[in-house]
Parts: sequence; structure tokens; C-alpha cells
Amino acid sequence: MGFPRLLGITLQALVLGTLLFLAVARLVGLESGARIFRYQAF
Amino acid sequence: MTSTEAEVSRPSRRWLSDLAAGAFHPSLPALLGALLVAVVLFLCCVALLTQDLLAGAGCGYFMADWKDDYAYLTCTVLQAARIESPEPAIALIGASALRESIAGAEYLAGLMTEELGQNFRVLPLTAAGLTHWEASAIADRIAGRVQGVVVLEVSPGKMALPQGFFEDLVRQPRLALDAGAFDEEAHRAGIALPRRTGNFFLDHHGFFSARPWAVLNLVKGPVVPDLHQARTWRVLSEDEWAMAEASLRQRIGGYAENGPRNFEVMGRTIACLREAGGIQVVLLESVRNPRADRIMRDSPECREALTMYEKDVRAHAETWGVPYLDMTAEAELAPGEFIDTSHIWDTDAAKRYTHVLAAHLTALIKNPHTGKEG
Repeated sequence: MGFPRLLGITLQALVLGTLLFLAVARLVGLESGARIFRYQAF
Repeated sequence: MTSTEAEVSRPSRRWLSDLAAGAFHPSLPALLGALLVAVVLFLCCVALLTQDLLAGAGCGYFMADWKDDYAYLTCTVLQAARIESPEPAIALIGASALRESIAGAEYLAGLMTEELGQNFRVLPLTAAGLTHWEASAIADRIAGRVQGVVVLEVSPGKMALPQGFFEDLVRQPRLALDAGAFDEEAHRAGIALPRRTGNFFLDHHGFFSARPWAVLNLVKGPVVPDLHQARTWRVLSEDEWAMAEASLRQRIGGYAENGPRNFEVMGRTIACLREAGGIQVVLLESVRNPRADRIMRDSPECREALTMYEKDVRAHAETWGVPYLDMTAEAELAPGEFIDTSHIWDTDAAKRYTHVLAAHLTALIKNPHTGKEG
């Protein structure tokens, strides 16, 4: 496997890994009902 | 293209097509790499997202947006709890009504400095709908770290909150604070605490998972908080007013049942602050739109609950020997200066209110031993 292909795979892994982490974090948040509280007068 | 140019471009084109193949084609190495990256990010959060980081870095890095006052409050409390400053402080603990009533922390600090001739720092420890249970957690964290005056906001709506609300707060805390007083209150109320690991990130994962996009603040720069959110709200329509009043009436209706228990929590918070020493506690009645007040007093059930509350809050202040300030009338707040039932949106009105508060606090600081105003 040449360097450019390895670099491409690394970039893909970084982007997908970050998105996967954020998506799982959001999913955990939604599942546990975590949310940012906003004031409502009624 | 000359033959020489073709020879040069061919390898670079091949280089780019190899890069694209690696970047865009699904492959087992890329999948394993993505999983590894996610695991590393998780481990970084576990290791790096600590109380010290939240206290040390700017609050704006952890806020989802400029209105995210619970993230702001968490960081501000952790900062106050970390630094033992010799400078006297005025800590204002309360809900959004208090937040909007104060013309600005610097403004109040300036007035105090002007009156007393010494520097003051004002800690606005406020967030939308902050309860007395959360206030107990804040008080627990700042006790012994802050010297000066702690203003605890009280209101009939807050003192009427049912225990179910506390159960929700224990299950889904809005603040990322570890506080023995909060846990103790949950224990007293018979509410089971969530399992703790001792790791700040894992124990407060709800706080972080509610705002995953705050990670973009590392690139965009910290969010700049604004403690005057009401100025951006729209005026309530008459229908919305009716709904807001109904909601207020419904909440206050629970006062007779929940009030005594909630005042006990407030009493323990005062005791916690007192035990730490160097703190004068003041109970401050939350501002209320005179229009909302009139409407509530027109309803017999509400009037009864309000009368009971007013008697209780004064008795509570007397029992604990703390000053109780109710300044809506003194600050001459008019219905037109509020955007809804309890939020001031007029800058001049907020300044007027802040002046009155500063005058009361100055009098208290000048007479610290009596616990009464001069």
C-alpha cells in the first residue's frame, strides 16, 4: 500500500471516527434525555 | 501538453487518485481506523475533561451558544471554587429573573466600590429556572472559597416546586457540579443517586452529550455569553400571557404542600454558607411583574398561597437571622418594564433595581455584626 493511499485512509478514519464519536455522544445524550434547558414563560 | 509536462503530471495524477481511493472508498483499515479514532477521542474526554479544565479554560469553550447559561454557570462556579480570592465578593445565586434584574456584574461591582471604597467582584451565579436544590449545590461549592455576601433568590414559584422536580434534577442534572449538599438533599428526600464512577466526564456525561457541538468552539473560538437574554425575547401575546399566568398559578398552587420542605432546604443552604465563615447571607425576593402579581392576588387560591408564602419567608428570615429584601416596589418597577411575568427587559429599570440592591448590600456590609441593614 503506497503512501497516498495510506494518507487517504487516515483522513477517512479521522473524519469518520470524529463523526462517529459525536454521533454516539448525541445518541447517548438523547437516550438519557440530556438537553440544554431553555426558559419558557408558559 | 508537451511530452515533458505529461511525464510530470502523470505521477501527480496517480498520487491524487491513490489518495482519493484511500479517502473515499470504504475499506477495513479505514473502518478500524475510524473506530480507533472514536475510542481515542472518548479516552481523551475521560482523561482531559476534568473540573480543573472547566475551571481553568474560558466558560465560552463549553457553551453550546450564548444563551447556554447552565454551562456558563457550571464553569463560573468551578472557577470561584478553585480560586481563593482575598477580594470580597457578592455572589448572586438565582434564576433568570435575578439575572435580568441586574444591570451587569461590573455595574453592581462599580456601585459597591463607589460606596464602600474597596474593590468587589460580583459573581452572577444565575441560570434559567435555577432551583433551590441547585442553589444548595452552588453554595456548597463556593462556601469557604468566597468571602463577602451571598444573595440567595427566593420566590413563591421556587418554594412551591414539587419533589418530582428534584427527582428529575437528580436523574438529569443541568449543572456539572459534584456537591455533597446536593447529594445530601437527594438522600434526605429518598431519591436514589445515579451510579458514580469518580470520573468527572463519565459522571456528567449528560452535560457534555447535550452539547457535543461545543467541540467546534475549539475552532470557532469561545462563545461570548450574554446575561441579558430577555432583550432578545419577543413580547408575549395576550394568549401567551394567559398561558404564563395559568402556569404561574398552577405552580404556586403547590406551595402549601411543598413550601415547608423547600424552606428546610433553603435553611440548610444558609447553614452551609454560615459554617464556612466569612459570608453574610441575604434572601432576595425575586422580581415579579406588578401585572402578574395583581392577577395572582385576584385569584382567591393564589392569594391564599401568596399570603402564606409571604408570612413563611419572613418567618424563615427571622429564624435564620438573615435579611430579607423585597425590592420590586422600592425600585418602582412598572409592568411595561417587564417582558413577561418576571423578566425585566428595560435597561433603565435594571439599573434602578441594581442601585437599590447596591444600597441595601452596602448598608449590610457596613453593619456586618447586626445582620440587619443600618
